[in-house]
Amino acid sequence: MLVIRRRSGESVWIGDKVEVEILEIEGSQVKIGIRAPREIAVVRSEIHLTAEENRAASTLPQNAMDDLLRQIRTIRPRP
Amino acid sequence: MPSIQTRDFGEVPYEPSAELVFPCGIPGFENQRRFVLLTPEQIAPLVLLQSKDIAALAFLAIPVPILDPAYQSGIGSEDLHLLGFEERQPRPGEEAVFLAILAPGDGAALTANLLAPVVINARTGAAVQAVRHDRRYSHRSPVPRELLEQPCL
Repeated sequence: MLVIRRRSGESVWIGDKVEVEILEIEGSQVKIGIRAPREIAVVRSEIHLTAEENRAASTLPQNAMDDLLRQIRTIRPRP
Repeated sequence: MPSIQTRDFGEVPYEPSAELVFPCGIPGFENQRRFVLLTPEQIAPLVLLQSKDIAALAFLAIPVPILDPAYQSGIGSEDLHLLGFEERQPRPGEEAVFLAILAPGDGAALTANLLAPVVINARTGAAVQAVRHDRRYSHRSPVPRELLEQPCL
């Protein structure tokens, strides 16, 4: 990982289309601004992780549901 | 009663109140906005979020209170607004349904995304996958096997 020290108001470029600016530093929080072309999605990492997880969830292998149904031993209350 | 073609269980009837609208889709599936929440008894206590528009698209999920009864809601203000709850965390169970989407883990295990629960406004059917801003819960929380073997509540 490339590590660069920057102060508030300074920025870095990623390639020649994306600029990341440090807007404000307050305690443990940093406010950053990102200028990027529309076709580059900018999301926080939690959303990126969730998108990957959703894609994996949507392609549950064919036999996974069968395995799951075998795993589930639902005990119904007796009438 | 309307019915829907599902990925896993053929044609399934459902109550109109089970229809959900995700105004922004969910991460990775931003264009998929209409889902139906199905509770086939073969998979209880799990549930199925079935796309209304694509039969092959469905997500298996577990009600969050079953996985973690002490789960602390942490919905961001934008998501609260989309849900129609404004500036206040909804009460789970009464006003809102919390589900964690399940993904395949190692081997036959399943993991649940507690970082980003699906939250449903029980009154309106508005739904979002509310991705937390903290790292208090994992996007790959283990699902203990015993949970799948417990009697129905």
